[in-house]
Amino acid sequence: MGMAGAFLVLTALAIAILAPMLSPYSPSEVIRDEEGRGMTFASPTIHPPLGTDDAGRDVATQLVYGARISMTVGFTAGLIAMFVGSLFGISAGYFGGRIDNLLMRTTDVLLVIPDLPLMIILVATLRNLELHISPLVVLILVIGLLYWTSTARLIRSQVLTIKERQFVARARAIGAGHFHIIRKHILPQIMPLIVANTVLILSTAILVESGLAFLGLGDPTQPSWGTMLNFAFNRNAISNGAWWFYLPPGLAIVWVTLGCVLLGNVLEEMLNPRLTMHHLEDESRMVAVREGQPRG
Amino acid sequence: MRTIRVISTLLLGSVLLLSACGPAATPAAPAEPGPAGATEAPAEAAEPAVLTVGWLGVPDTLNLAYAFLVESFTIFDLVYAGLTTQAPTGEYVGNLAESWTHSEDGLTWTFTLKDGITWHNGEPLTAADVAWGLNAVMTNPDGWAAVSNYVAGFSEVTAPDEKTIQIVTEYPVSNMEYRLSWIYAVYPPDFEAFTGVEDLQNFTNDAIIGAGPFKMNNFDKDARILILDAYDDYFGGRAKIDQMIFQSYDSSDAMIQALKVGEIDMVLDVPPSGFAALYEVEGVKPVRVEGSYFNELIINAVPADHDPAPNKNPALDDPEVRLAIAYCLNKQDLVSVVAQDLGAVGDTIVPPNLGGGYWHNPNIEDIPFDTVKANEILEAAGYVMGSDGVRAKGDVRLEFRLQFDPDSPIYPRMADMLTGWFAEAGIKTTPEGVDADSLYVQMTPGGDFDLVLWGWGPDPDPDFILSVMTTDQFVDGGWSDSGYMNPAYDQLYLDQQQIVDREARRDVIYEMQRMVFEDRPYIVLYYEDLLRAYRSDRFTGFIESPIGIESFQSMLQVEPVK
Amino acid sequence: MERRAYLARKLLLALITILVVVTINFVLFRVLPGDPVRSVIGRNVRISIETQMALREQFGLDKPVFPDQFLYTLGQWLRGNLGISWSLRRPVTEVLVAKLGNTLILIGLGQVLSIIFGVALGLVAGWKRKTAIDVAALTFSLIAWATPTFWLGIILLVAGSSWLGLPTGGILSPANVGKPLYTVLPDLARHLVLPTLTLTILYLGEYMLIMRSSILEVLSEDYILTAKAKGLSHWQVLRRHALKNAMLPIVTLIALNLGFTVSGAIYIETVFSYDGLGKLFQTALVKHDFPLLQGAFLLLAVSVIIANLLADILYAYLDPRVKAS
Repeated sequence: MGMAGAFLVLTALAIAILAPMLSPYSPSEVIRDEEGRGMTFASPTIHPPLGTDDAGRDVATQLVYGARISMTVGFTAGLIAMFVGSLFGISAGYFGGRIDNLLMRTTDVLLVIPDLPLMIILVATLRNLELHISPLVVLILVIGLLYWTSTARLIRSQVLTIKERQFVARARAIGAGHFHIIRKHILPQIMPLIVANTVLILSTAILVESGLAFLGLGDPTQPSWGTMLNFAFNRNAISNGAWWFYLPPGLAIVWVTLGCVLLGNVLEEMLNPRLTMHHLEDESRMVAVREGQPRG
Repeated sequence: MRTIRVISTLLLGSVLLLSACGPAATPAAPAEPGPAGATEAPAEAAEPAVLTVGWLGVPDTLNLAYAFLVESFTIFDLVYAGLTTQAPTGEYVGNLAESWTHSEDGLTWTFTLKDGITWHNGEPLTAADVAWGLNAVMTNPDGWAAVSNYVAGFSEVTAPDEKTIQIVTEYPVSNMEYRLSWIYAVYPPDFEAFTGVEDLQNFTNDAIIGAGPFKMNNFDKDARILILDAYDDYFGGRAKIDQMIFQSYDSSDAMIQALKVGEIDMVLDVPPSGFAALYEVEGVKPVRVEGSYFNELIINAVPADHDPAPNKNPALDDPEVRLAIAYCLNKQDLVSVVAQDLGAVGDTIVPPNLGGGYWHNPNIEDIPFDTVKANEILEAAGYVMGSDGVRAKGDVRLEFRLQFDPDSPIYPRMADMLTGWFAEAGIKTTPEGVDADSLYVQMTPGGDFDLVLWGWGPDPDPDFILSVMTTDQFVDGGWSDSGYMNPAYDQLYLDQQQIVDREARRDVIYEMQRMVFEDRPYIVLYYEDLLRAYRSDRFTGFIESPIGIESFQSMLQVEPVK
Repeated sequence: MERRAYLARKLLLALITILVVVTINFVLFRVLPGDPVRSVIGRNVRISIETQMALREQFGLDKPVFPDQFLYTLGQWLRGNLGISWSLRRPVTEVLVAKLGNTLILIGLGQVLSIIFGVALGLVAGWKRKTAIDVAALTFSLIAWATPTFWLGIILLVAGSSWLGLPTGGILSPANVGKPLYTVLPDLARHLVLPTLTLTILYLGEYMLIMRSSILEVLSEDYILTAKAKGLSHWQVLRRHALKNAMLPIVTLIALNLGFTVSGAIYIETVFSYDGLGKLFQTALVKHDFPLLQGAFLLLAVSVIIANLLADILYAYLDPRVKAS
């Protein structure tokens, strides 16, 4: 399963990186017929391999370049979530007390607020301010800053366990500073777990990005898979029967998301024998398992 | 187990309870017995002819004083009547007015009403009613925000007798018929109570009373369904259909599907990408006519010495650069790719079908698409091609921001295409989507832009679109986005507002178009077609014209196919 | 832990969360620059500049200052005054209330069906562990999770309308709009099939996994043997114990899912043009109608918070570890 996951993810990555080499067209190039007129909604039989969209552009090219956008936004947002989550998780677990309390309450609050409406309203407001930030950057920030909670909880519980161990107490006894302890003793232990969890977060980030882009919150000049689906839905691909326009981007999203989930699950199981994916243990554990995987 | 049963019963119970409450409110008691749907049988033996129309918007209000959306005015056109109206051919003809004259000096207009006009409640419509309406707008312009502009310059309106209305103006008004066509006659007792601004604007006027061929049956704002019944005593003769139902759709695909399966008989405003699909459908006739909506490339024309100073690439002030830009535009390609061939290449800001084609200047020779020529012009003007493919003259590089509203389906695509053509001439443009609200403010009066893609939907009389180019409009809340400031043009604008003689006015308007074309604050790209469709296997008689198949004249002719 | 303490804690959390939501809403509204007059009247209308200025004030763009206005605004919101929608020119509250029922029907039906089918599937999968059925169910659940909500909706929309002749959108056909619901149930049902199916497919996976795990755990318990000894059939034992075991996590999941179901509703209502709160939210976004957007957000967020609180209360009475005082 893990192998399958890795395969899915790696092929998608490869395609994204190699995009310009894979396609003879540029993403904004209009495909024309013999008379020089743009061919809109041309089916794959007329224009292999995936036909053209409503503006006469090659869908396969869009797909391949879209991989870059979808995955860049997804990955960057995931990395931010990982960073913020780790920071909070380590602080909460290590320092405990009030900091821990504050963190737990914050995650509790954030978890209850419905994620999509909150993100929509944040992105819409940020875009309306004359800040001249790229819409993609806005997406990355909003997604990253809302999905760190599961990582934080996971890291926290791990740190709590490690903190009890002997070498930490000894290190404190000989006067080692907090940062030193964290860096040398705690981080190396939890790093693998962070990585595994991040892969799972990535899957969510990619799903969420596609959803927000579908609602029109992406960048139309740099279409991701979600933006392609927005175009397909709003420019009558359905009425025109242009399945080659609305089917492939969704399949691509499933491909990458599935890959990340499989890979992430396997990694997490491998690297954290303590956290069994048992759904019937106590509530907080279940929450930790569930909350990391909201629906996109 | 018990707990599960309890929970599931509760859930199911609440779901059922909610379904009993229902999503759509039942409509208010209609003015006449007989609710929606062709399922009801009337008193007569024949089934009522009901025309169901699908559209993507919804009227914002039935109060003429405060309505801004096109959909509201489509309904007003059917329910109300004004002194004049625009005919399908494009000229202005009398509607309530039988005939009219104006004095030599153009300051006094006298209108004579037709006979036999009644309000929907049966009362006769008199000149006093019409005069009341005009006076109401004149005394409370902020309240009547939607139409107050049209009475600008009116000083006195009276009704000397039952059938005569006299309008005295401060200066000669060149487009009286056009202006009056917007000021539909409203039933005075409905509006008499509202003298302030807020109370007038809060009045929803749901039981709208007019003198048009249809009367209001019901407007369900939650379900977004509006029902009109034919008015039997309409002065122009009763319509052949009995009822019109307007249904709003959220997605054009759903609307097209509804037309295909026959849930609706007619659609207004099909998007270009969906239009082609309609040709394949049996029994559906797609209609496309020349429209007046146009798209343009706006070049920052704010003078460098303006205060506050504009933020733009100074190369844009060079007429040679503007000319070169014009040579880089393959307008025909834009029409065929972006508009899916549902449009026509544009040249002047007064589209050819405005007012029936009277005002468009046909003598203007458009700049063809020729990037070779563009290169020559720039080379001759001293802009040397750099190693990075961008021309420069000294410090000034030909690198421009190309901004647009990212929510638009066409501008991002157009920006990409333009960027490609510009690159061939050594001009580098960077497409950038800017939220429309912010873009407005940025341009007017910020003057902070280089090139912008946008569009206009001009009124049938050229006065409005011409005003967009005047210096006065480049202020906060004004309509000038280019910042074009030409005193000679401004003077001509004032002139044409007061020339009553059509031909003389047209000469001035021709000149104004030429000025704008040569100075290039706008380069008009293309005019969009008006797209409609209807089920020709069910209804016939539509008048296919630039004012739309939904015009009241068309609706008077429509009847079911036998 | 003590039930009373537990409940008190949950109530406090809910209140704090509501406060956070309200604050976010307030702050976002105040920082908004934009010119809604242009958004509303577009570029097709020729109203004078003076009138535009008057309109701007009308739309309430004089932005009040924190903190006195915060309390004032809060008071207004508590009284149900959420402002006027710019695009619809009606009070936001009126519009929200009108659409609420539709969304509740969709979400309620979807959740109920996904629980029923999820539990049933989980039972079978756990019972027939490691067989083809089990693997298929697990795979299905995984793929469903990785599928974007709106895309599944589009696929089902196309398949359902071309192959089964189901409607492509809306809640009722135009001819039936305005009639009391109980008279047009078949039409309503036809329109509900595809959106509900989408919701169900997406959410049944998780319930299935819970039920399956519960079955597996029960199967490995000792009391299976005791029960068998007593003469009860496998099936009875499983049902009684496994379902009881799964109850708690299922309730927890329902509560957790509420927020996500709302998100799913936004996508599904958009794809199926289903006239509920989700569609309203999306429309408000597209039209830049910020009062409506923020009013809808407030309603959605507070509803989910309250629903979660109710689930917590229910939980307090169900979870054996939460003792009565």
